[in-house]
Amino acid sequence: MKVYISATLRNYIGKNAVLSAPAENIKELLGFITDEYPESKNILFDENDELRSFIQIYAGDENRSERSFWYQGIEDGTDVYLLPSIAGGSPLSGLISDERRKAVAFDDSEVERFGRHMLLKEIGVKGQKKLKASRVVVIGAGALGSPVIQYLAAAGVGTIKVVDHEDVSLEDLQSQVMHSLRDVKRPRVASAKDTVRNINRSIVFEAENAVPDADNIAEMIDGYDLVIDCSDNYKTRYLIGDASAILGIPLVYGAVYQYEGRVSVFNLNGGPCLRCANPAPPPPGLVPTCSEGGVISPLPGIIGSIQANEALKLLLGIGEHLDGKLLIIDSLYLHSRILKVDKRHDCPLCGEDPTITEVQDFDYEEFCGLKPSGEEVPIAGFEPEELAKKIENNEPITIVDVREPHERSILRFPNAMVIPIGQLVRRQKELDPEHDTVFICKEGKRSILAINTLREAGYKGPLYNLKGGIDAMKDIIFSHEGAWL
Amino acid sequence: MKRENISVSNEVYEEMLTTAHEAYPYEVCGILAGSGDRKMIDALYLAKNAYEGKKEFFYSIDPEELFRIEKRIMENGREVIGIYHSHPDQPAVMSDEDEKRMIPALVYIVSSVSSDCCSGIRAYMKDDPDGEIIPITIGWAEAA
Repeated sequence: MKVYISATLRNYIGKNAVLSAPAENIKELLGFITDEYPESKNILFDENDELRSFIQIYAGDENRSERSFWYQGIEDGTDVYLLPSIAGGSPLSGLISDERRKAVAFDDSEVERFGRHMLLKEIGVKGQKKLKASRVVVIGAGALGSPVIQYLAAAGVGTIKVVDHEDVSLEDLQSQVMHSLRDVKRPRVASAKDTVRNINRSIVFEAENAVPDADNIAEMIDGYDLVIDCSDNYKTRYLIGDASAILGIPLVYGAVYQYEGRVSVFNLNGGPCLRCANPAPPPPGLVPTCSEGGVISPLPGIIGSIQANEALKLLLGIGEHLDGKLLIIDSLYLHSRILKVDKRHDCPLCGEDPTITEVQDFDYEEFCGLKPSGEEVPIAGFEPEELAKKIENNEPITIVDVREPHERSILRFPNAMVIPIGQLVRRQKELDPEHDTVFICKEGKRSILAINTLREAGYKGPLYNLKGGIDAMKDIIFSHEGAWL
Repeated sequence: MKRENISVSNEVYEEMLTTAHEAYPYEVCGILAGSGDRKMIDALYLAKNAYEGKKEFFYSIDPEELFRIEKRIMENGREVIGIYHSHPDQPAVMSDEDEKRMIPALVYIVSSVSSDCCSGIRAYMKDDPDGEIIPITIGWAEAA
């Protein structure tokens, strides 16, 4: 094959502009070059034998630099190009330009108020002005939003927008420390606004009492310097992840569940996006949200504070960030670790051949394969009343509860077998294929996953889902027991 | 390949500053070329800043465009000597990102530009991909 070598790399490859290499694919070509010109090995590969990030190999106009393409045969007559990727950037400068910083002025009270920031040499007056010039949008004014919004306000971020559509409820007060008893039944954004105004009246506070969806998410975050994800569900997380990546706005991600929390930074300087870390959300119901699974009160405070800290560093351009990294904190045993998050070349959102180019209001259940498509056997289900009737009539049915132990401890379903989804396939022999088997969970979603799992494993007996889960069954009254459940 | 200094013609020097200024607040980038003896840079071939995202902070050169520029440089009987780019509102030092992508044996010239002036222009190179970056002195010269 004929190989063109960029002038920038030629010095190490015998100063040849064009090579004729006896090779069928990229792997053989690289072998040939490093054998012929041993000094090229150090230029082409790093110490781990990975192709250096600035080396790009094209076959025709296709980029074949990824190792997975190396064994693909290259057609006769296709020219191969060895070109560098020439790129770079400015020294870390934060998300706020000097021009915007210079447009900001401080009065005496602000100099006093932010004195302890200005004492830090990495922040100083310049940094504090950058914060005042910053525009940040926080999605979610709940448990994570509470510390995030309060610290952004305290730190002097000039414009804070908060998006949330819910009202404060009594159970929110266990972890949402921004709200107090008198805020119950008020919109969370109204309570957030009061909190911010009580800290600093000169902050521009924008409230949006809305549910993020595909139609409004881009408008919600466009024009802001940074997005902070304080939402509590996967659908919103992926909407935010997709929209912020498409608009090129850095995202500070945070999530909590029970005792564990996670923080990361996405879309920074061409770094990985949320879908590089997790290409798709887990099936609905498999990972319960905090409202289903619970969370220890201070955990969102810890995670949210780290999110706020990351946000300030990004705006200021100081320190190291969690981009390309995922921080995981286990507050029960006090472990923490940082996992590496690589940018995926095959990422559906920010990869080389993206399949997601606009934010779509994906139907979460369909997306996760839980809604039966035309070809699949539809999942039969019982309405709560039907199941109640069968229980009343003592029909021979097996009820399988797939909920987690902590959920069962809150609400036990009488006479149900307990099999976690993970053990279903192994324990399917415990089920009688001659009898109807009904699967139950909290909302009737995990039970669908359970049925699909068993069917895939080849279970032939009749399987039913309790529609709406135990939540829907709460109001049923059984004749023999009075109030049941 | 080791060098401690590089000469740049007055024309290229002027061109580097003017183009950085014109591109402000975005980064400008291009390929630096010179005579076969590689002693002096006497031509700047500007390239489009193909970075998809904040061009204020980043630049990249499309490989296809690079290939076309290299062809033109060869046709003009010149050699590729280095890469030029600007840092709007930032000092003329190699950033982490620059360092990561640095190709050995090429001269990297970086200029610092703000909305009203150009404050600095510096050159760097390294011999070995894992080696240290060495600042090199720029000498100004009339084109021969």
